[in-house]
Amino acid sequence: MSMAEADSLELQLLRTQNKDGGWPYKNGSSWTEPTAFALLALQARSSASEACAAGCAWLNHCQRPDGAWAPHPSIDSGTWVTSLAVLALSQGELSQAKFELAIAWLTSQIKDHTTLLERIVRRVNHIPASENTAGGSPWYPGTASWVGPTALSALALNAAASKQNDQRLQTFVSHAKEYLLSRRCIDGGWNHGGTSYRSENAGSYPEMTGMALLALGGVPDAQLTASLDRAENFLVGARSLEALSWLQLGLMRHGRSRLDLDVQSPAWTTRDVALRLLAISATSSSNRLLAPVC
Amino acid sequence: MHTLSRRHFFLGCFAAASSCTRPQRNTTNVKRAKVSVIRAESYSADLTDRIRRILVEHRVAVLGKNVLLKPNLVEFNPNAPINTHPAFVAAAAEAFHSLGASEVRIAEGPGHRRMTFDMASAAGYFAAIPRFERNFTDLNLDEVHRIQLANPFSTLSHLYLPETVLRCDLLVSLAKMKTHHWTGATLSMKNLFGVVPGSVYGWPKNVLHWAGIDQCIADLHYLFPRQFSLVDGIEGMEGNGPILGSAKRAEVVVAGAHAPSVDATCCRIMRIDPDKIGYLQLVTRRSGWNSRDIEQIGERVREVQTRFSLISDLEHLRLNEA
Repeated sequence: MSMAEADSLELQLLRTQNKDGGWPYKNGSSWTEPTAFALLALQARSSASEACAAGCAWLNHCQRPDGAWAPHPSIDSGTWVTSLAVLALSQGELSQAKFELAIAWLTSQIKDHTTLLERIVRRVNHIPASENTAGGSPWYPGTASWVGPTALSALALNAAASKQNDQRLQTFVSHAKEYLLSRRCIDGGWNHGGTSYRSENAGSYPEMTGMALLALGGVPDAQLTASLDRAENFLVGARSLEALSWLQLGLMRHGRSRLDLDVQSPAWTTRDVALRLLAISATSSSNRLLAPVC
Repeated sequence: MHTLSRRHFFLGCFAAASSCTRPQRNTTNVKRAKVSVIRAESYSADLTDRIRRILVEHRVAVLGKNVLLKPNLVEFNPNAPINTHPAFVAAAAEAFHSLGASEVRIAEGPGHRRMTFDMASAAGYFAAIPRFERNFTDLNLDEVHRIQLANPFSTLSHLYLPETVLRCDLLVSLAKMKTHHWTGATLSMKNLFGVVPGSVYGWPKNVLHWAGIDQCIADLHYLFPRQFSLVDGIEGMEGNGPILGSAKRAEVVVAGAHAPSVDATCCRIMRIDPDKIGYLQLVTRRSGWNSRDIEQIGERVREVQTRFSLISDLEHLRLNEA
């Protein structure tokens, strides 16, 4: 992994930025997720200030009145991408009032108890009561909690808690971590986080394992031995830049630097390019995915 | 970015909207839909020729059309029969090209994994399908348009759907013959879950589960009246499908323009009772379609029937052996 590779990835991001300041997934119009990832990657490099300013302005403009971000300006609901937008705008790029509104929306999505409808659905589908749902976040409002959005919500709320020294937000982060720990696969890693019913032997995914480990900063390694080992094993056979990058970031969070590894897979999307750059910049103090754990 | 002509977009929206506002009948002739059952012992058989013959026999209008092939691409594992086999997808693409399609795209939006291109590579799609990268669209990351559901079975009022799907002239469901631990069987109708974009609804597309799985399968069916189904039943999956089951060879390709009839035929081949499958029941309720009223072409079902094992909770779906 070289400085030249990082420079090349950064150039790729700059070349694909849309005129409106946002980024597309591959090509086309600007979407919230790739824009937030591109910003996080450029911020980690502490460079390209003009591109960052334009990207932040686009994200700022796209915040909904309820504080959330929709995946795309044409979509009528805020979703999990709000976590990414919050992370990308967490260092003063958003006014305090708008930032608080975003945090309020994020915390409103976190389940603090099982709803009646959910209890009925779980009963009908024979889902064990032992599977924790409290503390988790959904991809889309009003649906079940999953590993990916919960991990990203924990990262965003951690950033907000650090900024505001807010005990209440720290509690949300703790609950999110408990949710993640309750959703581990039997091999120690994580997959999307479906119920174990009829999927008892489902294996974990490298990308979700890395993402969960990243969100579980501060959890003692002794509690994560099997998970960290699973992540190390995944590195050997990693087939995608996204998987490799999340694994490297997750392991870095727990003091295991495996930044020497690479895969021969193209960067298919803006997300791939940005995640690769974030992994390469894992030791940068301005990498917001690896901000200090509050 | 794919350009969507105004004509295509409005035609797509009109088709989607009109299929919902006229829920009593699908546009295909459901009185006696034709379904082909063709033997194919392996993926090295001449699948292109067999699929081409099926399309000719069904008089599918291909010439000059913009065809979209929608395989079932779910997981990285190339050794488990989870995904529609790459040779099957390649053969379908070649068959449509040979019949004069103006464009044949392949598109999918996997439900659990976000790295679609990496998964397609691991599943062998790049190796088997010429110019795959150029001809493939990740539906999870495509541009989307809001489509209103006028008379849905599910609790959804609208869906955001990918432009690539809305602008095609013919949507071809290249499904895999598998059991499914929630719905009983996943075939050409359930395969359309993959057109719902993860960028909007997440991984998995849990909104569809909360709004009713069977109901959403039926809603998606009625949204796309210009469909053809080709089910890869050469090697399917039994037991705890659609991911954790075991390989089961049926050595057939099942095809037709009326997806419920194709799926009902697949169910019978798998020895599952189609009249007990929730989403097929919904089609019957709305259209009066009868799962026994099918014009069978090719092999007789009883000659290719292969009992697919079901998880114990779903044994009640078994076709009465008598």
